[in-house]
Amino acid sequence: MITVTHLAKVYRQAGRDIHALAGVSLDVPAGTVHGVIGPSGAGKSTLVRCLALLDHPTSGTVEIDGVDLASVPAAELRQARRRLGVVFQHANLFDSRTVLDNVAYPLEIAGVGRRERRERALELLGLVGLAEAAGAHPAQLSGGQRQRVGIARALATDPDVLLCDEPTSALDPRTTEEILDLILGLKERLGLAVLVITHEMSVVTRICDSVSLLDSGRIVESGAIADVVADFGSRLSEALLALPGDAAGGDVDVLDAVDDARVPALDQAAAALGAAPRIVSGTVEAFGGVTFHRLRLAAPPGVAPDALVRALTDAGARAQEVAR
Amino acid sequence: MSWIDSLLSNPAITEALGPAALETAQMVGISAVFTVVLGLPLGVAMFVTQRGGMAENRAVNVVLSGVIVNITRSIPYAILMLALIPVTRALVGTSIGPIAASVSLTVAAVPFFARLVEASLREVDSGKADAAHAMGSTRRQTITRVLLPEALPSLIAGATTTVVTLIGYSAMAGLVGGGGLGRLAYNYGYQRYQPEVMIVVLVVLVLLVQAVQAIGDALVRRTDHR
Repeated sequence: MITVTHLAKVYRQAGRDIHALAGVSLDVPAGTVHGVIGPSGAGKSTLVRCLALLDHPTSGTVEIDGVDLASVPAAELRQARRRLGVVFQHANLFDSRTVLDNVAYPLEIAGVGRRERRERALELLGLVGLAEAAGAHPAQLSGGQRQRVGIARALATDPDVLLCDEPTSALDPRTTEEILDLILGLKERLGLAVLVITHEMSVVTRICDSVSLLDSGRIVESGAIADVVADFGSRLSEALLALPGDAAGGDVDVLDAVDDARVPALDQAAAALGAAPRIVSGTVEAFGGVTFHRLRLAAPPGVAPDALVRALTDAGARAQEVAR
Repeated sequence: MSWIDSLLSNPAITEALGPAALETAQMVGISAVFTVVLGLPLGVAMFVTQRGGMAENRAVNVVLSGVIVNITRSIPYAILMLALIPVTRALVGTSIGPIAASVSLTVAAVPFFARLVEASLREVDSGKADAAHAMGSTRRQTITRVLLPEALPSLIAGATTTVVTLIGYSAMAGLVGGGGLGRLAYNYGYQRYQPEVMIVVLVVLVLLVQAVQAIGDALVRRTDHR
């Protein structure tokens, strides 16, 4: 598992201090996927560089299995890094090496013998479904295949933590699904703690058990994914259950966890009001085994929006008027 | 075809051309080897000590890049080879002959090649160095096992350009005692006014440059897996 405590990074630029990270704390247990999402400029890149110790954090700790990477001396850090695999947005493979030699690189610098690292690299390539590409050069592969090789390479030293920096941002939607499924499968199989830094909400929806929202170098919202979505009105809930289209003309938002055994709140509210509200827009998505729906409603004629909110709340749903 | 007959009976061609070409090859060969041996580490040193580099060191970078390389490169070769005569004498015992000429050729080519090495390393995507570090590479491993292999096609292209430049300089070095094709062209083509010797030397030089470039290009293609 990986535990990050009060991680801060201050850059000095043009005589001013830039607080790129202002105290970030995270905790990712083994066998879970945690997503860090945030708008551009939120500090995602700085966070990745500090977590991978490519930049040294100004303060705070990055603990993997009890070893704080931020405070160990350089020689020990090189050892400790083997517990952390990093997957990069553009894979960052070495073009001069074959796919096999790319995957074997971490073993090569760790002093593993030629035959052993070849065997291990082939095994890893099998794990990501690319055993037949062992002798190819990265330039001969598609973007998705390159990312698979990047993942195999990150796993070469048998790490406990996988840090993924925008792992699918350079890929098309179908390849994105394949890579995310692969990461999920590997997490299950190897019991990895996976930390995914991304700007893509769909990545969080698909693979994350918990999520943090990073903004201006701070974690502003965080929690298990179902809890975060259920927190009606929070930025993560709005973003994860985004309404499609412009949803114009609606005046009430309602959020509910759909349960087959229950009459949906909408029907109950309609019965209570004697008129059904019109659905302007809506989205249904499952998070952590719970299916949520969020609808934007237009109150029926003659019914005030606040009356609709009351009727929905009485029926057990969370409802609020749309801010104008 | 009397001019061909006169060419084939001209001792400048029949007797002097072969040894002269050999001397040129010797000059260029020796200086090329020393240029790569000295210029490669110099280029790497400039790259790692640059601002934001792997071993950023302002003072060392200023001395290497600003003083040694820039000053040497701003001296025209014709002047450099004359100025270096005492150094050459001290180093190889004579200032005459292809081996002596190799000294000034090397001094002129090392900073040139080092700049090309530095530029080649800068062209390597910084993400590759990041990946190498993140996997626990030492700085030495990052340079020798990642950055230099990744830059290899570009380094070979740079070495080829350097050798071609050396061939040009070697003709100049020939005039002040280096011998070789430059001296042959000057002595026979210019001073004895035998334009056909001048033309033959030029043709040989052109063929030499073409051959070097073709070999360089082939090596670049073979090593480039991008």
